[in-house]
Amino acid sequence: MVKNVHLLGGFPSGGGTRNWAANPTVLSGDIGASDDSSDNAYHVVISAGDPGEGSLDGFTITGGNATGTGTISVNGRTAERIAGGGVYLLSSAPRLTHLKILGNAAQSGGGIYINGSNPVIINTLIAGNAAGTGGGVRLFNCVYAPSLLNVTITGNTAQTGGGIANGSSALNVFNSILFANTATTGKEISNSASQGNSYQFCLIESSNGWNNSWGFNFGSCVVTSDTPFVNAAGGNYQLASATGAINSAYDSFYSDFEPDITSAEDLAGNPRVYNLSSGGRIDMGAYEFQEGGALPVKTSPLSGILDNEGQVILSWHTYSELNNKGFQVQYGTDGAHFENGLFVPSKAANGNSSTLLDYTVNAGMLTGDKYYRIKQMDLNGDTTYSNIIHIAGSGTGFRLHAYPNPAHEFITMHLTGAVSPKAQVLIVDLSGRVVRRQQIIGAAATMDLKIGLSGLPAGVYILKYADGLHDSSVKFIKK
Amino acid sequence: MKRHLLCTFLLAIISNLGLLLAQTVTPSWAVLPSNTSPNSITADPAGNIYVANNNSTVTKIASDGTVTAGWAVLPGSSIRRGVVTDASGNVYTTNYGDGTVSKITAGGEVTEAWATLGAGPTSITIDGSGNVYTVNIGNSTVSKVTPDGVVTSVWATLAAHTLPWSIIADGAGNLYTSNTASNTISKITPAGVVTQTWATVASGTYISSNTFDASGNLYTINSLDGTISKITPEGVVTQPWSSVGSEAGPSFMIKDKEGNFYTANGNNTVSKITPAGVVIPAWATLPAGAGPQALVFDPSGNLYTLNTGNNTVSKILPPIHPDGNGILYVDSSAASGGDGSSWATAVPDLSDALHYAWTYAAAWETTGLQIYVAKGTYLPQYSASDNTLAVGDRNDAL
Repeated sequence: MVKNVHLLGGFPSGGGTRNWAANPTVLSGDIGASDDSSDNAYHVVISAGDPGEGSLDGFTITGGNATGTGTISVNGRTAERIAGGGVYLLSSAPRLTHLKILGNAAQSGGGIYINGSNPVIINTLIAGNAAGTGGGVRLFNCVYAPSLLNVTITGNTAQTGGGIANGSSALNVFNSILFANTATTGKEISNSASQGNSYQFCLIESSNGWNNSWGFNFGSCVVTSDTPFVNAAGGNYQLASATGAINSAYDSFYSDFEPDITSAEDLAGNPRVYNLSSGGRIDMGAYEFQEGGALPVKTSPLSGILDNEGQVILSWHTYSELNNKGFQVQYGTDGAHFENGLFVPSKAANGNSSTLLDYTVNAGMLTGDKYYRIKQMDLNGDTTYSNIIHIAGSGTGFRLHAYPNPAHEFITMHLTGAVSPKAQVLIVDLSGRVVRRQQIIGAAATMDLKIGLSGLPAGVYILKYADGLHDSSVKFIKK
Repeated sequence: MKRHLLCTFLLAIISNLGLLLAQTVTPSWAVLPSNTSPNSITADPAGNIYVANNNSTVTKIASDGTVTAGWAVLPGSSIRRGVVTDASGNVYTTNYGDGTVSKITAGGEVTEAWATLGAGPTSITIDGSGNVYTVNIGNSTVSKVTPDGVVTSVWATLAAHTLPWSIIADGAGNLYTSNTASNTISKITPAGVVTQTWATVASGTYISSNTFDASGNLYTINSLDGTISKITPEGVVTQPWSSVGSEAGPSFMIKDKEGNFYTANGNNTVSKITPAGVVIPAWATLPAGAGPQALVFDPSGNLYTLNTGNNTVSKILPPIHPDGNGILYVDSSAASGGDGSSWATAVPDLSDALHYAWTYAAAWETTGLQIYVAKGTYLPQYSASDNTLAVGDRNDAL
């Protein structure tokens, strides 16, 4: 890796909407004879020394084989050829997100070797790696704690420390899963650090409860022998329904590292928190369980606003579609009984799509309180319902609206209702990156704020408004 | 797999030679005032370009091409042959007429007689410790100025009447002058010990910028016969090592971070010479009448030619470069030879893109660099230790 360089994988060939699940972008150490690991690169990825703002996001890393001898000097630091088959971090803490670290080998740290570094690793799967010590992850002399956040570590093998081998390092593991790793000593975790390493909101395999040798259980860990995965043997580490990992991790840990949790995505490209707007909680591991995930159409939660003219604007998007006929908008007055509104046909050709599609519809003038939901209908007749949203009929409350949508050179944020005098307005893209930021001081009860968009690539953005009393966001399209 | 690697390797060689690609040249990237008589060019660590003019002004060109004609106005009217910048972005320029060096801070504050040398300087250089050296053609001496401005006006004395025209420093703090009248190179140790005839080369010799290779060999362009000389650290000369031809009329040579050399030629071309000495004669072509006289690289690897024939600065983009938003595109399905500035011209190999990013890493300190990678499989092809191309070597990493 190179200092201050962001590597983003997952774009389609020829460019387009990024989706790391649909567009596998593989960094492979298989440089010699195909499928013969003996001549593979010792390390697939090395980051040595200060990485600045550098990051690695949206890649599969495989085929590293750090079973050599001696050392190699990288940026003036000494890397050992026996460590870090997939990723070798040497006094270097780049941001690592949306990675699959699969099938690497080493004497120490088959998937990833972390020496003297405090990286943040998020939404990452570390599976099927092998080592003498630390099949998945090996930490060594990390004085400041590396953080593993929503990481799934499974199916790794080692003599010592199948999932994680911690040597003299501080470590924080949040919202993560360690399951079905194997080792002679320390099946899931081997730990020689006496302090400063902790697990919170994690699912760890054992039939004997928490093992104090792992480190400190700072609370809310699930220790179980029941697999949380849909089909580990088939390489599907998505969460099976009704497992202890679902809705049982902690959103705030996630937002500490990635503040815009509303637009964050998991390793499959699904919303990081399913049904966040309806009280959903983040799951453990790299994948978020999607209600109705067995159905071939994956949709975001439904959201809705009341626009300036009193029209109800409903919006959602699909991450993928298979044989999708379309969406039936339904409305009602009590949240329990619904009748059909307009029908929205699938935007995908023949109802099939592997890229993100946006749906925004005008559901008509609001007359009194209303509840809305959408019924997704497959061509074969299967249906599934979205979350239910409530649009308040009274006109006095706080309301955020943005127009025009789609927007071109600028977008106007329209606010009605009580606001506090200091507010912050952000525009973020779907990767969570803040692209515009504006402070408001001395807001009025009704106000318009025009925000320039020139220079931004076309795409879907989220306008977020926060003033301490309200925290609201609205999605729009930049043409 | 092996066959694929071989193909990639050959393509890498071919594209390194530049045989497949026309260079992206912006001929009139900056237009200089017609009456300033530009003379020399340099770049600071932030990518600003400075042109020293014979009418005693310095022109600044920001990295976006904005020209500030009279960025620094110095008293008097004199030939300002030399201009350099230091690591902090200060600009130093020689004044042949009154024997001084002027210092201009990055903010534009001028100290006209920052150092008074007592003889007419023609060329200026800075060593790794920030010491400024000038070679003074009038009395064949070398002057030294420490970073805090202490002047030793006669720090070293060269043989009289050899016309020492240019001076450079190596990584160890040795100084070298090219002597136009005697076709020789002199070497001066950091202690000031002079070896007058360290190397004898060819007619019109000129060491115009730091042209040492990784082994410490020095290369000089000999403008009268168009040859390039190689001189080992021990002073052993290979003459000619290579040649761009006298008909090209080369006057200036510079080295990039990959070890390739480039000459500015009187026939309005830029030639590229690989580390092995292979010449690509018209690697880049400038408009008729441009008259390129000097070259400089900025930290991102862009090459600029100072064209004294039509008072312009041309910009030549490196073979791989990001778009205007700092995004470099990589796509395994792309055709070979793309420059990486769009999906349509994506670089097919991530390791080539990372090699570019590593080579010009200093440029991303302020701007950052994003590399967008399309689906596909990418292999490490450059050594993790020194980033040299080593296809199939287990020490490679991304």
